[in-house]
Amino acid sequence: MRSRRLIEEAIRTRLNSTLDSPLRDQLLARALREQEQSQETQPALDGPVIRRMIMKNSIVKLGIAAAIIAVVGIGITEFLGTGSTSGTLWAQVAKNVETSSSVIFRTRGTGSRDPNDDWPNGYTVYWRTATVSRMDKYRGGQIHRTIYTNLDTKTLIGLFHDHKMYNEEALSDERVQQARTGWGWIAPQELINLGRSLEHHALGQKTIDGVLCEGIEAKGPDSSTARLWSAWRPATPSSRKSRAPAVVRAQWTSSAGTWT
Amino acid sequence: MLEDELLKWKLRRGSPEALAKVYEKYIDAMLTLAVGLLSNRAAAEDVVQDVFLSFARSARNLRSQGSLRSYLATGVLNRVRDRHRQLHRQAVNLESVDEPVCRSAGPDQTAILVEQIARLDQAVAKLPQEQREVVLLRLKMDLKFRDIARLQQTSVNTVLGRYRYGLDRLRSLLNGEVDR
Repeated sequence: MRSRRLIEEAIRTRLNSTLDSPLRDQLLARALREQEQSQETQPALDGPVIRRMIMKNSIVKLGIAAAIIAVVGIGITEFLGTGSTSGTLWAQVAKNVETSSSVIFRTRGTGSRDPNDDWPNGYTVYWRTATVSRMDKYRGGQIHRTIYTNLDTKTLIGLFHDHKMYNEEALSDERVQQARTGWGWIAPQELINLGRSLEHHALGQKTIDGVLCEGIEAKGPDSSTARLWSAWRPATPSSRKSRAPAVVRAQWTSSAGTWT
Repeated sequence: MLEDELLKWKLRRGSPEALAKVYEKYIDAMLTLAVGLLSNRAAAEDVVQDVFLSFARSARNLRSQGSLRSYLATGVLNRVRDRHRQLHRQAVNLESVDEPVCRSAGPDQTAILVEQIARLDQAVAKLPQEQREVVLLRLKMDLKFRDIARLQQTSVNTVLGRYRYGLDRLRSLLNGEVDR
């Protein structure tokens, strides 16, 4: 009777099956087709998973928009520091947001469709202009991925901080177009327009993270509510002379979860 | 593992090159596992086809933090179980056990090895399903016992017992037929 070690070795090394060439090639071709077809109905490059959800109804659209606007404020507060602020009217905030040329925001939520890879503990910080994006993904409070996307140079670079490696790849024209489309929905202008399109009323003022904000509450046809707390200030001293991101914070509650 | 991380990252971005790489890297290993679990080459090919087509459809949303090998092996295992349930666990027909392929033997050793491997394959096919799963997942997929325990929804000790009993039964069945 042979030893267990020999039997283990025999199973490891001698039991092997190989897919024959014709079937091997056919199956790969079919798998690639399946992958391509599935992408035709998938969100665009780097777009949060929640993007598909915002198409369902207007209040969900505002809810998601609120979440994104909220993180504009969080991002600035965390990364650019707090400065002197004053209460402003919503209309003024909206106007300033509309003229912003870039956004900084953080996404994190308690809903089941959290766009982060590491729900519920992870979050993502975005810096985004019309053509350039940087995305930092955090896990357990530590950064573990950074993704740079440049639509002008059509390149995407991924840094794997946890593995100390990186990857660079060229973006096809199709993916660039997808990215442009995907980025559009979180443009501040679109978010403001979305909020205005719904029935809403003023909530007054509230201090959030040391920033005095004006609030509105919007109501959707499905009785979900979205609260938007907003303030305006230049993000940095240098940006006083240029278009700067808005500082807005919001809370949205619906059956899908809560975003703050 | 690092290569898998990179592949997963590319797959989430829709890279066809990454899918092709995963396919070439794991298709034979998954087929080997499926053949070992089903003892039926045609059925095993159907299983791996289902697994890879499903994987291709969902690769963009891949959220697994483990190895791709483990992820795909889980897919194979689940489909094999589905198939067993459908067939009400038909008795293994040793006559239908396909002749395995040996890729490492020289020409003069092939005849002997093929016979030995056929016996090994038949012996594996005679193992109770739970023991067969443990033996193949451990030895062919390199899965850890705790991962196998999670797949079988049982304790690690139970899995270790199944592995030990499985190997003992193989020793008994082969009774000296496995030699190097």
